[in-house]
Order: sequence, then structure tokens, then C-alpha cells
Amino acid sequence: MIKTDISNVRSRNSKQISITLERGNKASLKSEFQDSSRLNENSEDSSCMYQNDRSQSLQMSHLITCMSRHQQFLLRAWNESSEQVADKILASKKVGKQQRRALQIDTFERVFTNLFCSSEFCSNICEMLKLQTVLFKQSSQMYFQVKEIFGKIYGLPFEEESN
Amino acid sequence: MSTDYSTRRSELIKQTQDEMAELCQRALQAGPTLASMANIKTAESPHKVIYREGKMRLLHYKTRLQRTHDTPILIVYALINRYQILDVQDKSMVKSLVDSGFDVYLIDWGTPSDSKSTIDDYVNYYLDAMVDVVRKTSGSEKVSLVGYCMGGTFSAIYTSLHKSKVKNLVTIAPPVDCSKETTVFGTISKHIDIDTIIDNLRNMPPELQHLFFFMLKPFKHHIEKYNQMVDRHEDELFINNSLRAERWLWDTPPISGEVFRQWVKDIYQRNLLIQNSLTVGNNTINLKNIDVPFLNIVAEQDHLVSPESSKALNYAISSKDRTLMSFQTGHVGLCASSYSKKEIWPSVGEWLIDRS
Repeated sequence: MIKTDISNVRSRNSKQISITLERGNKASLKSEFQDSSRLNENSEDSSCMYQNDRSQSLQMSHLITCMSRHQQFLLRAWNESSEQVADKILASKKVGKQQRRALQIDTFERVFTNLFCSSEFCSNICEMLKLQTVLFKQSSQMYFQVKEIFGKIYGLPFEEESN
Repeated sequence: MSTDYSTRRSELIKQTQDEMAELCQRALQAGPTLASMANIKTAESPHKVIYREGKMRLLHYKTRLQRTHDTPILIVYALINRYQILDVQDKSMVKSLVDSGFDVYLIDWGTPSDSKSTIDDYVNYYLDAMVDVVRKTSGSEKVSLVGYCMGGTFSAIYTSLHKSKVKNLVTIAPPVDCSKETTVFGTISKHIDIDTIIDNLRNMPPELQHLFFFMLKPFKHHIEKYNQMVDRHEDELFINNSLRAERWLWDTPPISGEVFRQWVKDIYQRNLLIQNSLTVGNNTINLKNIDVPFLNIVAEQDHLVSPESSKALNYAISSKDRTLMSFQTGHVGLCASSYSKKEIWPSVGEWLIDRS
């Protein structure tokens, strides 16, 4: 039997800890070394976590940029549709209430469908989906909720594009 | 531009935006009310379940009429939403075929219970098993496959591998040559990082499918439709029909992750099927292997699958007996509309009768 003083290792505990090792039994000793090396691993973990946080933060920032771009796409289409409707009404002699509604729906549909079929819009929305999937790991937290989209188009305080 | 004109134009723009915002809000508010009307019953043609594989079911439709054609029909539905769209009251494609004297079967894919099933599993395991059950039940060596949308593509792949079991192949709006896709789905699929989505979510969730559906006809299907329902709330027949359609529209099971990954990457992004380079299990799919009588049905106003993508199948196979029928309707209009009942299914029935 040997006695090993490992007080230096655990000096922060400021008390003497003795462990008893049987000769030849390296397993326990090894496990102590592993424990101490785990401290280093933990410090690496912290660094890794920090990097993960940083990466997440960058992804979140990228997501916000995509969302902002997304809103600007929608706002632009919203304004363009309204202008087209106004011009069509001005160009015609008289437009009744029902005709106006049909004109509005048709015009908005055409402008928005063109937008939704565009490569620029689709690539942005796909980037949003990818980031949201990675960040939230579930679809229920998707920003772009179907039932809310038009509430968002009208309800969100859009920021006008700077140029 | 005069000041009057400019002022009038600005007023009209503001008025348009206010009116459209009101329509949007009204449609959004209609949602919860519609959702609370859950007691809408969908009437299906009488059938019995003759085979189950996990949550998948094989339905066999009953009829009091004498079955007058030897070859049974197996309808292969898509993996998106549920098969009931093919059996909508008084516009039912299933009923139309049953009433024409056919012995009709249909695959209900159910809700996937795992995310690992691939196209190989769906075609060479599930579909093949269903075909064998139909052959055994009907006593016919071969079946007529009628595949809708994704089910049409699966049916074509199946026929290229197992043509000895297929008498006729009918495809309805199948995605085939995705280089010709101009729809929202086509554009989205070019950009979507499907690996990240499936790796993280495992399956293709309903919420994402709804997002893509929403982008197809945003104002007609998601704003005007609900406003029409509010405006016509006293028209019981209209409301009931609309709510049945709503129920189908929002009853969206997830799509098994691996099959959807392969669908997007190989069929849409790499466009391998039309190039005879798609790998399914241990096989490379060669569409030239299809030499059975073939009918392809496409919709000229299809906003889900470009008709040009579907039409390519007619030129890719080697069948001598091949027909293309093109109709002035949309994707769903091909199988669940007054137009399809009157114009499409009688023509399809005649085509099949001549070959069954």
C-alpha cells in the first residue's frame, strides 16, 4: 500500500486529501489524471462554447438581415401593386366597388406571384429557412408563419430602404 | 403631371392600401372562426381497407355495379396532403372510375412513422407490396397504375422497374423534367438547403409545406377566398364545400425526411430522372424501359407543376401507345372540379376501357 498526497492538485480546496492506492492499480490514478486533464478539456469546452455563441450570434445577425430584406421585398411589392391599381383606376372611366376589388386582388396577385417566383426572393427566403432551422431546430418557431404574413406586411413598422 | 392628378393618384394609392389591409385583416380574423367549425364531414366513396403497412392503407372501393373491365386500377396518391382530394363529393375521380365499371384501389400513405424511408422504400417496397395485393385480390396479373403528381412520378419509376406487373400507366401532372419548372416550387427547390432542413428537423414539417403553398396564389387563395366565405356565409352549400376544401388543405402530414431530401435533390435540383440517371436502391432508372400503354394528363394552368415538366415524360419513354391530354385547368382542377368530372374523367375512362 502506498499513500499519495494529492493536496497540491486540489490545493484550492485548502484541505489535505489522501487517497489510498493498491500497488499496481493504475486505474484510479489514471482516473485522477483524467480528471485533471478534464479541467483543460473544460476550458477548451468554454472556448468552444464561446465560439458557438459567437457563431450563433453571427447567424442570428445574418437572419435579421435576411428578414429585413424579406420585409423590404414585400413592402416594395405592396407599394408597386397599390400604384398599379391607382393607375388602372385613373386610366378607366368608372370602376365600381366589385370591379375595384377584383382589380386589386388580380394586381396584387400578379405582382406578388412574380416576386415569389423570383430567384432573388426565393434565395433569400431559403437562407432564412436554413438559419431558422439551424438556430431554433424546429419549424414551429419559423418567423415566416403563413397565417401571419399579411398581418406582418401591414402591421410591422417597416423601415424604408436607405437607397 | 398636374397637381390634381398627382393628388388623386396619391389618394387612390392610400385608398387601395387601406382596402387591401382591411381585406387582409378580415381574412386573418376569419381563420379562427373557420377553424372552430370543425364538424365538417367529408363523405368518401364506400371502401374497405384490405392491407396495412405501418400507417399506410390500401383501400378497395365497393360498387353495386358489375365490374366490366378485367384490369384493376391502383391509384397512387402523392405524399403531400391526403388522398381525399381524389374523392371529393360529387366531383370524385374515384367515383367516376368506379361508376365506369372499374375495380378501383387506392393507396393512403397515411402519416409517416419514420424519417428514413427513401424513394426506393416507397417504390420498391410499399408500392410493390400494394401492387401485389391488388393482383392477388383481383386475380389479374397486371394492374393499371394511375398516379397523381408525386404519385405519378413514383408510378413512372415503378413501371420502369416492374413493367411485368403494369398493364397501363396513367400519370396526372407528374414532375419529370425539372429544368422546365417555372413554378414557385421549382424556384424554391433550386435554392433550398434541404440537407440542413432535414438534418435538423428530420421530416419536412407541415408548417414549411404551408409556407410554400401560401406562396403559390397568395391573394386569391389566402385573402380573397376567406373574404368570399365571409361575404357568402349564408350560402350553406358554398360554405360547406369551402370548409371541406379547407379541411383538406390544412390536413398536411409531414413528409418523410429522406424521401423528401432525395425528391428535392435528385428530381428537382439535379434533374436526374429525365436524364435516366436517378438511382433508386440498386437501380438506375431508365425511362426508356417504359413500354406499356401510357396516358399523360397535364393542366395548362398548373401552378404547382409546370405542364412542360410533365409533358417531357411522353418523349422520354419508349411506349408506342402514348397519349398526352392537356386541359385548361389547374393542378387540383385536374382531379377535383366540376370541369374534371365533366371533361377529364370521362376521357380518361374511355382511354382505359379500350385498354383494360
